[in-house]
Amino acid sequence: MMMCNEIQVLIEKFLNHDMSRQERQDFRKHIRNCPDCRTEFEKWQKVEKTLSGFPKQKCPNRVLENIYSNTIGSKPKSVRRIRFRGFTNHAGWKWAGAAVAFGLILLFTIIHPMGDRNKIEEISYSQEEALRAREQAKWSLAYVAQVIHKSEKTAIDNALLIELPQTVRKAVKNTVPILKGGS
Amino acid sequence: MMKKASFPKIVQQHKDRVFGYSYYFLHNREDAEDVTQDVFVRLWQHWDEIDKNKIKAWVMQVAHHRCIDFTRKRKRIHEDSYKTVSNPKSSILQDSLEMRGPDMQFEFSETQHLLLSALEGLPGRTRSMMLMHYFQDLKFETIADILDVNINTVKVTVHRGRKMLKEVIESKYPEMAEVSI
Amino acid sequence: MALNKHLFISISILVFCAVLKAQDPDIRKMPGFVNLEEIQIPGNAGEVTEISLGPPLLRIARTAHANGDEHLSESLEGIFSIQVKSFDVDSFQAIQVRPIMDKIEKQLAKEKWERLVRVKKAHEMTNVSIKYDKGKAVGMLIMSLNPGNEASFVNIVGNIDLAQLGELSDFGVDTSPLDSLEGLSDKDERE
Repeated sequence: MMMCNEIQVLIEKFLNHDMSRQERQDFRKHIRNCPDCRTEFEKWQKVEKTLSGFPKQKCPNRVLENIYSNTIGSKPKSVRRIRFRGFTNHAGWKWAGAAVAFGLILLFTIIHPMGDRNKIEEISYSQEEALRAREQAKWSLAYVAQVIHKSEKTAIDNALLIELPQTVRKAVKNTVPILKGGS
Repeated sequence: MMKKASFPKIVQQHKDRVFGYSYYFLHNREDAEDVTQDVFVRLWQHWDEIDKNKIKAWVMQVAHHRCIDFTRKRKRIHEDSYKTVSNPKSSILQDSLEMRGPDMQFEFSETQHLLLSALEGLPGRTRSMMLMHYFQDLKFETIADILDVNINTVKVTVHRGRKMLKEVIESKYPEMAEVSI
Repeated sequence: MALNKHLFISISILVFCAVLKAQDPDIRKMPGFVNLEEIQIPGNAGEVTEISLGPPLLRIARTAHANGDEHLSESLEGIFSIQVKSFDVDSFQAIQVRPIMDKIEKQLAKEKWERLVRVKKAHEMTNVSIKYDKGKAVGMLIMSLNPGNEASFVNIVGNIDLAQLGELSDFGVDTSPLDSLEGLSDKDERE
């Protein structure tokens, strides 16, 4: 009789292969002798059998071909090589030299007076750049506010899914949002 | 492990499982082929970062996530195309028959179609675990690795899935309860 | 010819970086700063938003002509830097981003940042943390990961007033991915 009360739990254990040998033997013995439990077990077995009876699928060969052509068979990506053709003629050397000189001049005129931060910070921006920076800053802060609001709401919703005492549930529901000065 | 030598062996070992899982998840052969190709190309690309003792779980995990991506993409297209609400009672069977590729319509028996439709009605994670366990013969430990959950969660969820299928079949498709398999 | 062009551009970039470095060395040393540079945005990621505003740009942004959003200037007061990296991720890319988030979380715990909000579900995660220095908020870090959707990292260095942020969100600013980062079109020209 005890087995009949526990039949659902035992069926679960049986199907999950979680029974010891002895338990399995006792279970089978009971199933053989109890018509109600046997009927119930057979219903489960039907589902089990059908689920296990689906045909195994074979991966088509064309997929393999595609896999191999995109992996083993693929040619390495060509590496962009800097061609040093410019060094074979004097004009090339002249331009390269000019570029290096220009860079060095910039380096010494701007970087060298490092102590004078005010001078560096006086780099001017156009009106367009200023407005673009403002737009980006505005977007960023609004995005932050949105994420805080959304995640706070999710955290509260998740908390309310758990079984909590009534007083705690009320406190959670009445939480002041972080963006309105809550914590 | 030498990459070029080992890679084809690993592909051979796992291709059918990856393809099979994708096929039953997506109900579409072409999409399943795309997912399978994607999985193994990524395996090649990330070869050095992967623990070679856990390749089975890795490829299945990637396949699982790619299938979810496909489903989301497909759902967006489907919602745009089908604005009217169909009869809710028949919608599981109807929608999934529509979603299934033409070859799938003829590959399975009516009983199997009924069960596939009942599987469609399961919650996402439960369905995934059922597909992995029954359709791909994966052990609970491996499924737990793939989905990053506790093994007991897998056991409980799979049993819940069995129970749901049993109830759905008994109530909505009583003829199946009588069919001898 | 190709070499000359490469050489010139490389040197110019080096100079530009050096100039920037000379301008903003202090931000990296500030307690509220988090280095987001190691976060690699996947090459094939869709909808990428990258913002990097240092002290000079924020100063200019504060004083730029406001167009109905004067409260923004107040919100920007005391903020030294804003860094944003946001990009679409599919489920597979999310697996690669997650360890970076875990690593940053550990670093924040080590540096005694306070967690404001943390949501963790299956493969989704959101973490909002604040750095306090002598009772004052001096930095904020937001990390958010939603596989099949988006991964975002935001670091703000400076004094952040959360109530003021809340007011900003009340003004219904559109936070869909910025697509006009490169410039303002004629029709957006302010008066």
